[in-house]
Amino acid sequence: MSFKCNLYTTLSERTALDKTMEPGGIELEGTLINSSNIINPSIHIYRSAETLASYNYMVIPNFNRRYFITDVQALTAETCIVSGHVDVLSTYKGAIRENTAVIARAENKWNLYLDDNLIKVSSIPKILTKQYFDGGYFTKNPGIALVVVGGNNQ
Amino acid sequence: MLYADFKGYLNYTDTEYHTTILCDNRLYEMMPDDGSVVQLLTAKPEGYDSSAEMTEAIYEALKFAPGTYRSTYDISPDAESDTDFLDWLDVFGFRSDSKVEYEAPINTIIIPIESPGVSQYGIGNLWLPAGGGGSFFNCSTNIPYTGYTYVMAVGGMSCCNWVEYPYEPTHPKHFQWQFAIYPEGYVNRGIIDFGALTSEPGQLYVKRIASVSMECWQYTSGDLIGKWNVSIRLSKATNNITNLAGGPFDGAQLGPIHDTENPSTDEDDNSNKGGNGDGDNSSFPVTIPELPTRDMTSAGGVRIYTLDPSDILTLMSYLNSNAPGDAILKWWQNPIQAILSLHYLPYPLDIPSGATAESVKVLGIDTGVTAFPAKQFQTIHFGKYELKPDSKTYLDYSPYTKVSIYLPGIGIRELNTDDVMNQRIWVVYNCDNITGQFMAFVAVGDKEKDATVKYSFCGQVAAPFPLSQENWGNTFIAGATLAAGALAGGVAAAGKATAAAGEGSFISGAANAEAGKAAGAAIGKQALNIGSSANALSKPTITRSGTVSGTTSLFGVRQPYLIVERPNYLPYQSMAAVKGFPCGMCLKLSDLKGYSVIESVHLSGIPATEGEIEEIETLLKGGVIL
Repeated sequence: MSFKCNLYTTLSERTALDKTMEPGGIELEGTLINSSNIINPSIHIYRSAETLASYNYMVIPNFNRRYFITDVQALTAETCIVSGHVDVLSTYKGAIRENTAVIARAENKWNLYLDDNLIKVSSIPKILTKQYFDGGYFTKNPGIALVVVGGNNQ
Repeated sequence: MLYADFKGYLNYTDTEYHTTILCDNRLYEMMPDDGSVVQLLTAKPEGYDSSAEMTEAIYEALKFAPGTYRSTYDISPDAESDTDFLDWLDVFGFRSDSKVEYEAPINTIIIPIESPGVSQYGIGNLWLPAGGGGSFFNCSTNIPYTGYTYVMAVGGMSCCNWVEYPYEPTHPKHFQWQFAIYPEGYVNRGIIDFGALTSEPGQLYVKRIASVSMECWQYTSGDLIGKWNVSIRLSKATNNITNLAGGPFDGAQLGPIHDTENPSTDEDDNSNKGGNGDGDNSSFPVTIPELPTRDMTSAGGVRIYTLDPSDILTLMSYLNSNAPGDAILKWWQNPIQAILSLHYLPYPLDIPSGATAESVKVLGIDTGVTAFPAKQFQTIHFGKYELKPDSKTYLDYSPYTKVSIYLPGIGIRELNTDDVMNQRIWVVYNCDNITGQFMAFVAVGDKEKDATVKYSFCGQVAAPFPLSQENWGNTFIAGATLAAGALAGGVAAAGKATAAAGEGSFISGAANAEAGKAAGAAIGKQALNIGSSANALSKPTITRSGTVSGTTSLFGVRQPYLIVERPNYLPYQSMAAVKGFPCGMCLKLSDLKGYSVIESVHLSGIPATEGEIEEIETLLKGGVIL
């Protein structure tokens, strides 16, 4: 049974949930080869390897999944087997975002007062002497105190 | 999420019609993050004519980035208007951790309120001064404004550049509203409706306030004229603020939120298993103590004088005088025993106000010294130093940063960095001028009088001045003894002469050892032998008071200073996009943007295969870009 495959080129990071597709995607017909599955599908596509070489991403609407293209194997001049692996992050990004998690590190929600061994610290510390306090001080000319028992009226 | 038992509070004060509501940062933590907008409501309809009742008609809705900032919303009347209740809303924010306010109007949003009778809708009434940068106002247009019901709704407000700052749960956070209430006698009608305060898309973080109450005071010319409590009930709205204005809230107060996925907190009896502490984190201000009000000088038992070097010379001259009259008085009364101490102090002595110079008498004997009496106790204020963080990261605190303080008269002492970082450090000495002992206080706080004492050290800064007294009185005793011996030996003439000489000496007051020696020379060998003993007896007796130790306090550095050892870190700011920074919070993933690493998650609601779920979890824990 054939189904539609939409092939794209993406330059987005592999770990990004939202992937941006470059212009020039194509829609093709393909058939799943017998030994593959929907997680790692291998699909017969009637196109030359040269035609498919520039694509690295595909969407198979019938499977409700998005895939990284992992291999393009030319069977004949006009036939290829395109292998892929499901992009779970993009496929399920909506549901993933609905989950709550304990976040270890983040780009936009962080607290730098938590210990972070990724900040590199030199073994040579900065030893600083800070300026004097801004109030009084001991004087160079000391005061002289005479302490007498009995007071002055005896 | 479960935030069941929280009792939030708003402290509501009103001074001269300016009202402040403070909301503790725990409110942030206790609100749900389920995406809902929460309204704080009262049930009062419109039409009340006192400021008190007006305040009961405050609607609140809070929706903002979590706990990063403190904001002030200041609603002030126009002083020249007698009809408008509210003329403008001034919004500005400042960071609580840095204690530095952003100066208006940089982050100021002013929302004018039209005169009564003019239809008023939210959109289009934002006036953004220069420097406001990116602020916006997207109030719902469905809020009615009719007649004398003034409805002001802040449907959305960007946090300007506030969101660029980190969430810092270790710092106290408050958000604050300030309302200016129109003076008594004016009809204050209507409803102030604060809608959802939101930040930029993706930065939203909605939580719930469980319960809020306000206590209100109203003053006129400094007199308290009214005090009342206001309870604010809660409403859980779904999205915006379209249906809140004008009508009383008739919904039930929200009960504890039960988390079906993690039901243990509110359903199980965990009362004896920890985790339910309500943490009394209030701190009592232990301030620097004042000096004792009574001292020895006021009691009259002891006098302390502040001398000049010339006074010391005069005193020494007196104490070592061999004038017969002085000698006999000193022999008789031994005044040096009444001089407890003569010492240097490395600071000028405080002289009581109105004091005049007086003759210094010791046991009633005038020493010839004229000096000012001084106080026994005095305080030396060394001032402050504000220790600011370097990186504003964990590296600014212990054990990474070390702080020591040098204290004059004490030396260098190590401080707990956590005590003093980002604080004003005050050093104050309370000194006893009689003993030279002192107690040094190291306190932290904005002002010295309110600073909390963190450390106290004892020291001694008196440098004793060597003091001596020559006691020639013994010489005269020896002379008298010799004279008596000669008489007993039958050398009558010599004895008489000696006795006469001695008596004359006593009478004339010529305390002269040579007189004794001359007498001895006249009485022969035996007498000479006796005179030899008398010579030994007649050497001046030196009485020493004090020691020569303890002068080091005069040589040390005379002002406090800090020694700070800081980590030398490499630039880290650009790491956020590549590695992220520590977060540690439990958040909905939709609240995150950019690179994120998940520490723990129980994935649910994903229509994926088991293998895919495992892969998702692995990827999340390895770091993804959300």
